[in-house]
Amino acid sequence: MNGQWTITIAPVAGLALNVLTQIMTAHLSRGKIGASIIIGILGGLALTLAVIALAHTAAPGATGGFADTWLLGVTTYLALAFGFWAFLNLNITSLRIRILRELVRAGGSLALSDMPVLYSGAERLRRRLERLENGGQIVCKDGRWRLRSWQVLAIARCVEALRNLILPRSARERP
Amino acid sequence: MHLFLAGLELLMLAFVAHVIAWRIHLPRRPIRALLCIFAATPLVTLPIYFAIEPLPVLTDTSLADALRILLFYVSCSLVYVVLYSAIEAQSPSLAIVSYIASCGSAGCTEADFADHVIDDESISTRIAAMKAGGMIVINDGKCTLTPAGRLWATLFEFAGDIFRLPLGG
Repeated sequence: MNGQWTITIAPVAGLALNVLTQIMTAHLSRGKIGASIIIGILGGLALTLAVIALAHTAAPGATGGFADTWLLGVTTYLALAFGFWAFLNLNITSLRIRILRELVRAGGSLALSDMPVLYSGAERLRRRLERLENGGQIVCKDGRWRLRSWQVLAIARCVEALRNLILPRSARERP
Repeated sequence: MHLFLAGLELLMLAFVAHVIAWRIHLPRRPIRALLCIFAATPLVTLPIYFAIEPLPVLTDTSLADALRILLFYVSCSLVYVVLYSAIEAQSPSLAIVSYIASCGSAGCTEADFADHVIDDESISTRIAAMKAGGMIVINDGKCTLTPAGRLWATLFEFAGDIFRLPLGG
């Protein structure tokens, strides 16, 4: 396989290793999901870089400049890894997916009044606060919640800016 | 550099087309419309590009390089489609963080969240979106999966088992 094709498949190989590493780590660590996701992403990135470096060393003239070789490959891998992370994260945080999973567990149909996600607002709040606290984003002192880190706030501000750019005013006013 | 820039230009074109379309008329099924725009952009742009050939260096691109641009474009497009769901309906976690930030150094109590962050409307919005997306039907207070909804639900349940993911929400 020549250098160009090796570089082309490098991000896909990285994603494959990311998925396999996450599965193995999640099973071996008995449910340490956060750690398994990070180990998977780093493993995949290492493989992507290694494959690109191998192709670049084998055929240095045929693989293009820095941006076309490294930037394109690494950005593609990070985008694929983000897609995989989003898929995992959706399973953990999305109310819609929780509703779908509750419905399929109940055989495909459930009375609205029997759906736990619909009546336990306090439980939903507790889960989210716990996740944000475990992630180091917020902290509770003397019964009052305070911001501990700026990362999620920065994401929230970016999302708000995109909302203002993309959605018409009438749609922005909806929750 | 030309491969990377070609991919970026395609992404920017699709994004601009999406913003203009949304400003003119918000689609009823936004994710489907978004996927159509991101799929149609290269299909419309490439024949025009090859017809006028403004940069011969790109028309001489090998199959491996073309595939590299395609992979970059598809993966970044999917990232945007994923991000769009957070733009469309505000995530409760982001709402909590924004609310805490707005309280400043004094912070806020859980009772404050109950009034400002967790509301039944956000749940009913999601259920309405699932109905509009053909995932569920609601009859006589009973929520039932459609065949498409069952397929997605089974996929997420399977993923939950494989990747050891807890029931979220």
